[in-house]
Amino acid sequence: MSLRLQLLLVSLLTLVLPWAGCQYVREMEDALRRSHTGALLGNALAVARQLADRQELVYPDPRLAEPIDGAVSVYQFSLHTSPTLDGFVEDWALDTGALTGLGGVNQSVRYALGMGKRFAWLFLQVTDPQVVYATSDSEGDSVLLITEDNNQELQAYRFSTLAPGQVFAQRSDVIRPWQGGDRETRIQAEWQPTGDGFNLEIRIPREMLGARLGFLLKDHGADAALLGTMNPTRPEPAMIVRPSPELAAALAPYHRPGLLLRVGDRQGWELARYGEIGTPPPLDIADASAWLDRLYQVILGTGDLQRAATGRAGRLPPAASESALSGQAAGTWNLLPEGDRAMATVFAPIEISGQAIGSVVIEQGSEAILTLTNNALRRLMNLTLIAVSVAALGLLGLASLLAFRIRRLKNAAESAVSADGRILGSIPGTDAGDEIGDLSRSFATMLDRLRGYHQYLETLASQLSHELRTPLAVVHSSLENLEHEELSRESREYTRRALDGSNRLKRILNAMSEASRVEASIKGAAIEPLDLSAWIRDIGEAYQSAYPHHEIRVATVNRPCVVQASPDLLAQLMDKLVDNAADFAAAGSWIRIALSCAEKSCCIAVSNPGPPLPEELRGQLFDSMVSQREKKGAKPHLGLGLYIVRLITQFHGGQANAENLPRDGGVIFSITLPLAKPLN
Amino acid sequence: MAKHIAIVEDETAIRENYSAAFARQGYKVSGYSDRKQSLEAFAVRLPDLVIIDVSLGDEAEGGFDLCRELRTRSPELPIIFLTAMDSELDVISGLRLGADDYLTKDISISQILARVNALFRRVEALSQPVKQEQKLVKGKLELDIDRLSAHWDGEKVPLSLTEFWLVHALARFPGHVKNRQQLMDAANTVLDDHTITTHIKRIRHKFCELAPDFNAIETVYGMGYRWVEE
Repeated sequence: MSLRLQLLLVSLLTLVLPWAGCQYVREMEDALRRSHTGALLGNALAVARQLADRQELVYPDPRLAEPIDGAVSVYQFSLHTSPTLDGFVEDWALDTGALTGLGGVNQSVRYALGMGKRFAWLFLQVTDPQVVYATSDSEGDSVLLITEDNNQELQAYRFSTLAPGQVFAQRSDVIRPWQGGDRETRIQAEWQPTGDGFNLEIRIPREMLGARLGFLLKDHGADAALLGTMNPTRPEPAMIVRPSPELAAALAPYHRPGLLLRVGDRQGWELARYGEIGTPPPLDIADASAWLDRLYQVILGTGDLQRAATGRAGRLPPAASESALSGQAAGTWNLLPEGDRAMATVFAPIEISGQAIGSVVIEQGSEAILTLTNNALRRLMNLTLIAVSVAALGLLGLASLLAFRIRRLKNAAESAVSADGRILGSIPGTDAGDEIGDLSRSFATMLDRLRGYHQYLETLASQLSHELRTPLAVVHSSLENLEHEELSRESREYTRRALDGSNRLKRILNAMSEASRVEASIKGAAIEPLDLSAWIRDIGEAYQSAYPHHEIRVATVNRPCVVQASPDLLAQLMDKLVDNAADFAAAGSWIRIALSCAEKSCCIAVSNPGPPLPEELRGQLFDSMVSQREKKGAKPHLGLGLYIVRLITQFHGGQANAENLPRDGGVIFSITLPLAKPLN
Repeated sequence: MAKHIAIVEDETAIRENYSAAFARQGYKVSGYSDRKQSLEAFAVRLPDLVIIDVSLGDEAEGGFDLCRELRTRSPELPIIFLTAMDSELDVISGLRLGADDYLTKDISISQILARVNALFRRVEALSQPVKQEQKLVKGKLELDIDRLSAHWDGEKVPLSLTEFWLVHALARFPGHVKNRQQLMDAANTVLDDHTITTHIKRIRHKFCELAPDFNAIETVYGMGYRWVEE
């Protein structure tokens, strides 16, 4: 894993800051919500207390407070349109969920009561797998409606029909309700068959409807009613639940913009509402931070907020009203059914002597994340974000810088030492006071020391030869003097042997210092343009006479091949190569000197059919004191010849190589030199 | 009267050995181990020939100073330098000390004797009238075999003894290539290839100082050198 990646990972730790920020914001959010609902709850309790004192507003008719056994109250919606009597409820323009349902799977009814300007409307949507119409001699499915008129007297009406279409009510007896009677033309209905039953839309003149209403359904041939809002055995209608404009007016003083105040009765019917769940005013934020808001919303989320269920028209939120009716006052937070806004809902019971007679529910819309509406918190979050970004970028930058410096050091270290371990250059020192600076300085020092040692090794031979020369001169001159003394035959023989030995020693010392002499002459060598193609031909001829026991083959190129070189040094190089070749090639065999020219460089190759180079010496052949010779010859061999070749080649900016020819064809030494001018 | 040779050499064994060899040849020999000691002796009387080691005791280049002092006192005194290091050969020639020859210490006694004899011969020849037949003239080059001196275009070329013999070997048969071994034999010395190259370089240099367009000594790469007559 790269250093940069590691530091980047470490920089991820700074993300702890925004995480902590988030935790803080969430707690803040809780606190804000609590205080928000606290304020609303105070409001709701005040309303509830007020209404408890004015019970007549909640229950204008005392009978409303007394439930009738087996009867269900029907809620009366206010109609703002004038519906057509057509058997459809859509033109009533009711809110969703306005129809109340009764019954089971096979047979059920959904109904709604609406009050228009002149008429009261009752709509029944009956699910009945088998609708039976009346015939002349038998009655079909029928509907019984019992109302209380304005004189508080109950009236019963029966509806059945021979065929779909307009139906008139038949007056019936409240005691024996299913008996048909006179036609009541003021009450009309429309019987509309549907796919799984029928709709019945009943229109009653306003003045004929008092405070109570109930209905029952009876199937063809049945003895008793099946479904309805009344007790089938003793039909008695319940009170109609009506929204009260007076009650709504009483709520007005508690209203603030954005608040929806609602009052419900014991059954959870909405008796009054005032206001709207307002959309909170748009936040005063610059456009540039809009994307930040989105980011925060994504990061913070809406927490544990549940989406509120879509409310039913005419009913208070069930959870709230039930809790309130059990005597609790509290608040909840929910997301609005649509969009990403939230809503606070508080509820309080209207209690009279410990008995809940209704509930007050106040709802208020708000931003989903309250914290964001607070400018100070928002700025804190922005600053945190900036701080984290700066820290991460800073760490990344530092990591890049460190990685760059380490890489540079690595490259310098790699290029300072060649593949075969020679020290080529130095590592640039640095003033940096940190650990990397220390490292590069100690690298530089190490390299200098190594270079010193390397130089010591390379000059060891010549220094040794210098040091040995004086004692050798002592030995040699002493032996020469000894030769002139009176000696026995044996002594003379020993003296001769000693002289031979010292002569050999002398030659060895000369060879040892040769490399240093070449180095010295390289320093003073003069460079001149040299046409190798002609030059190789000339020296080829010269070598033929110098090595009469070998066949010197020369191959050169026909065009000029000019290099910048010192002819003396190059000749010395060739001497070494040819001498080396002659040593390994058996007498009578060939030595090939070939020149080849490429675009930017030329290559002098000296090959011979001698034994192949040992694999273990590959790469070291051109080093000082490396020799592959097995047999001892008259001439001392210290492995300096090819080292000299390398020195001279390097001086000319070239490269020396040694390779075996394919199929044991011999050995080839090649010197590549850059051309003075590229061929075109 | 026996010629007087002074050997200034801090290595006692070498000094004694050389002294013994020269004495055997009938020379009178004095040995000195440092510059001070030798200068005291030379102040009384100059020897006929001096052999000086470059490094004398603590003085790494004490021999150079000694040579300079001797040369100021006697321009004709034959001086031979001995050195343990080849690289010093270049230094010696670079300093233009006016020594008559420079030898490395691995030279054999017979070779050094040959040089000493030759130098004495030259001194003698200088005091006698010039004999025409002892001269080798090739173009502008004029070699006096007796005096071991060389002239180019009438001007004296300050060649050392070894250098003189090398030029002589080359110029005797112009056009003939002399390989390094032949040159070594001619100069009566054991020199390696490199030293021959150095000597030739120095000889060219000395000629070039007199005649910048001098190119009579040609390198035949891979073989050796030859004298080219204009």
